[in-house]
Amino acid sequence: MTRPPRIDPPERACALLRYWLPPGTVGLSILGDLYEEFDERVEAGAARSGLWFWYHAVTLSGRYAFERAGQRLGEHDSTGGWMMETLSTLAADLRFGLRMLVRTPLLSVVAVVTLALGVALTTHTFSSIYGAILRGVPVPDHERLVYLGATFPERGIDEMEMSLHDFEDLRREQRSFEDVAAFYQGTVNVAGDAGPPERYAGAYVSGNVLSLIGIQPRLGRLLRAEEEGPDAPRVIVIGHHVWENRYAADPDIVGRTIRVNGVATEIVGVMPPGFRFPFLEDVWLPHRLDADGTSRGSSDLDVFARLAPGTGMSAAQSELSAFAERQADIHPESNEGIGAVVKPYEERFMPAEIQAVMWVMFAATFGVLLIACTNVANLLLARASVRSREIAVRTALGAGRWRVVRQLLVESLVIALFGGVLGVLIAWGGVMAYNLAVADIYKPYWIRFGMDGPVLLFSLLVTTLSAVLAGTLPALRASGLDVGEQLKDESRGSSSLRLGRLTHALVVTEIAISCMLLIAAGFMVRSVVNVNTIDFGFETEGILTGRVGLFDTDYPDAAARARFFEDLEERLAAEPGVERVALTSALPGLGGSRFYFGVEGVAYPTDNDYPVVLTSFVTEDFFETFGVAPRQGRAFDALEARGEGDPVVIVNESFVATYLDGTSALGERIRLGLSDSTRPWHRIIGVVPDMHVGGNVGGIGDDLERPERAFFPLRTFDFAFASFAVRTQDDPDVLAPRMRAVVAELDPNLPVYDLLPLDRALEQATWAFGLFGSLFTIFGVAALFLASVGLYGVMAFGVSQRRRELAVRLALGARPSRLIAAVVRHGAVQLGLGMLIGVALGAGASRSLRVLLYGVDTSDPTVYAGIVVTLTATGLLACLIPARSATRTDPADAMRE
Amino acid sequence: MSRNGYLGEFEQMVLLAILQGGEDAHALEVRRQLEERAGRRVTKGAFYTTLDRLESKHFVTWTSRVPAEGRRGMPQRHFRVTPEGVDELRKCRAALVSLWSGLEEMLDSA
Repeated sequence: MTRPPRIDPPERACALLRYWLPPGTVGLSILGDLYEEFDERVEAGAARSGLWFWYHAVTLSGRYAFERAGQRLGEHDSTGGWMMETLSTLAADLRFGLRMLVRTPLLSVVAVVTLALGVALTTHTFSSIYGAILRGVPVPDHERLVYLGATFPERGIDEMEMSLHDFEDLRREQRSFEDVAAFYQGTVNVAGDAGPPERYAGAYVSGNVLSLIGIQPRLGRLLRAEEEGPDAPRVIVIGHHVWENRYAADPDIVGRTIRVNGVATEIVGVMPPGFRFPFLEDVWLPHRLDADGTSRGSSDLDVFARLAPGTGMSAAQSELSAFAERQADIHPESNEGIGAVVKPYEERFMPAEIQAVMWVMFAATFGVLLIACTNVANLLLARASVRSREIAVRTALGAGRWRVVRQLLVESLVIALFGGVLGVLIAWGGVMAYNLAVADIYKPYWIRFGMDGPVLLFSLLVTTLSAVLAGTLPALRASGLDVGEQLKDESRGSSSLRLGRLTHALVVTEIAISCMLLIAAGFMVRSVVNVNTIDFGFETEGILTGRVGLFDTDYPDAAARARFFEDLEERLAAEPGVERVALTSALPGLGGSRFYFGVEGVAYPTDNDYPVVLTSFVTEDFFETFGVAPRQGRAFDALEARGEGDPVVIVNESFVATYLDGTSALGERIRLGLSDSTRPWHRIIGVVPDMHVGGNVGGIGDDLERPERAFFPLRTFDFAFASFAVRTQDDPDVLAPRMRAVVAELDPNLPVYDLLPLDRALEQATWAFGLFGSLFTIFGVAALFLASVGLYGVMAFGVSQRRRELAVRLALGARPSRLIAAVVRHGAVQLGLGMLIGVALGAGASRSLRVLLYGVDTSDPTVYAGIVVTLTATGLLACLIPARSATRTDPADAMRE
Repeated sequence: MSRNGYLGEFEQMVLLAILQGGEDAHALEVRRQLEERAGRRVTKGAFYTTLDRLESKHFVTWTSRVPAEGRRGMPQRHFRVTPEGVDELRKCRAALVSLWSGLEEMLDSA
């Protein structure tokens, strides 16, 4: 008596079976057989009975699905059964292919893993490109969203913001666009309600921005055109996450008045989740700019537009260029030499250089894929040569060439399918890791990486491509054999499908590609090393840095802000363990502000002829804190640092060389601003060595940054933000909580940002090089690994084919060392040829990588030499191992095989 | 009539296994016979579709009944080889025996 079973088979698996099994008693009885077996297994306590049931449900359903498709095709087959025939032979090929895979497990695993590596790398890179470049900003019709920028070709500026005046004129006159809108980004302080004051990233926008984008608010309404003026009532639209986090998703939030930057402002709307336009914004406010109050020559606004239906980029570009010319005619004093550029909106935030890097990376991964395919092709060729007799028998029995080719292609497709699935899984893990690595990077809100539909489709394409690439050559080669020759040959000689020239050519190609990738990777690594060992011209260790920003509600005027910064400097300096303290508008190595300036006594014909210099505003101890001593003159004294007495300035050596003809600079005077500047003249009192005060140190294109710098006393300018730097003998990390406490004692509402040691802050600024460098290194190592596996595989196979011959020679008294030398010599020729081609290709590739390389000479012979030595060592090892093992076999054994 | 005049190897085995199963030749029993006597692991898909094929060639018929317990109320098919099926088996055996004749000594000693 059987007890009633306690466990039921999986419901979905049963449903699957009911769908595919034949109707009526036949299907039900098969289901009954499965139930019976399942219950027996459960009774016997067999593990994973559910899994067992699923397995049989899927295989049985697959079998019957195939039968059913065949029947249906047979009924409607107008090709006289040809379709049926094809389908069933394809199924037979597939089964046979699977069996061949199982019969040579090692070869199959190597082939699958090899292809998986290639598919994983290409898929991963494609997912980066898709996420960063192809997907685009998530607004309706994003292809029609364009960025409109000003250019200044004379100064080599190919993109800058527009002035409010130009924007207003353009909005009035243009015809190519549905609508034109503008914004600028800034921080927004929100207070006056529950919770502490908070600082948000905000966009100050023209009234039509949100409506132009075409996204509806979650609550309330969008901003209106009439709200952008300086006298309009104050309104704000908040982001979904702000609504949720700060206001606990209060449904009655619309209409509430809060304090925004110290002013009562009404919340009029909440945007939908995920909306962070234009970059990574939290809140949106009307810009409230007044054309009367701003100069025509300023450039304040990022302008974008939606192309009118049917208008192309080139039409828009010509209209905008004509507009720029008109403006230059009407307003020569501000617009002379100013051009215009139209580009897809996303390109404003994803510079062409970075896009170029990504496409180069993509090409590099295709190189790896090519190597992987070559390897698999070689493995298949090797197997085909073992099977040459089987193939010859098939041909003799009447199998057409196409039939044989198809059989071999299906086999490579089976390998590629397994490789593709494994590759996608690996890529999946890689994309998740990549997402984590770039999570904290400040980047446009639409850039995220995932395995989206198009990415998966791409992997499918790549997989199919690999199957064809890897399978075609061996298939054509094997199917073109001379049948008679193969059948006569008793595999005693060495003639059964000579691997010959084809394999050797593939190995040479493989070595060449990996050599090229390794050279590129070598230069990338060199560049990363250069960035990490950059000579900043100042000390980077033992310095803790941080940044504070003052709310204008609490610090309403310049005097209050200056007082706070003076207090802060004093309190920081009084902390135990602190040696020196500096406050600065921008930390060295991490940027600065660009200012127009003039040198006294130099005539500038128009405002556009005034030069621009990267400027920092610093306190008295700035240079001492960073361990920099003036080359000429002196640093600021206490009086000058407070902005009292004569206005003074300190410049660097490049500044003197560029703007003062390299003569003695001390005593010369410069003034910030253009011809209409009302600022005082500043006397140069010191010249310091060039410090790296670059925009983005080690960032893309940093080599192009001009090296001239000027330093003014902090008090000569009114700042709401300042960075502090504290030099200490202690560990800067240990000091961090105390610094935070000091700021809190001064003002408990003031957050401290970016509190971290200077060296780490600089490291964060160089992430791009680190990221690209490590990716290229992975490609290079993957290529090296694949190439050596390939070389080893081919050499080992070649030696195994010659075992009999080698055994005979050994038996006849040949010295093993001479046999080994002969085998290795054979491989060395391919190695040498491959490297020769690879070095030439590598030289070309690294030249095109130059934008990415920091301080690297692409003709540096040490990199080439390093790669050649590595490849030679690996390659020779790959030849040596099979050669040695062959000479160790007993000749008698080899002869009996 | 079978495809090439003769039964396929697997078809022969299935028919023989049904005969070995006697009165009780339901699907699970037939597969057990195949596995025990011929030492052959059989995938369910291949097995059931072969039974279907043999049925469509009229070499096999079946009757169904619902056993009193087990199988969750599903019917069970009991297979029988038809006289045509037995004929076909005989033909195959005759062909094989004729091909084997005179080779026993050589093949046994190999």
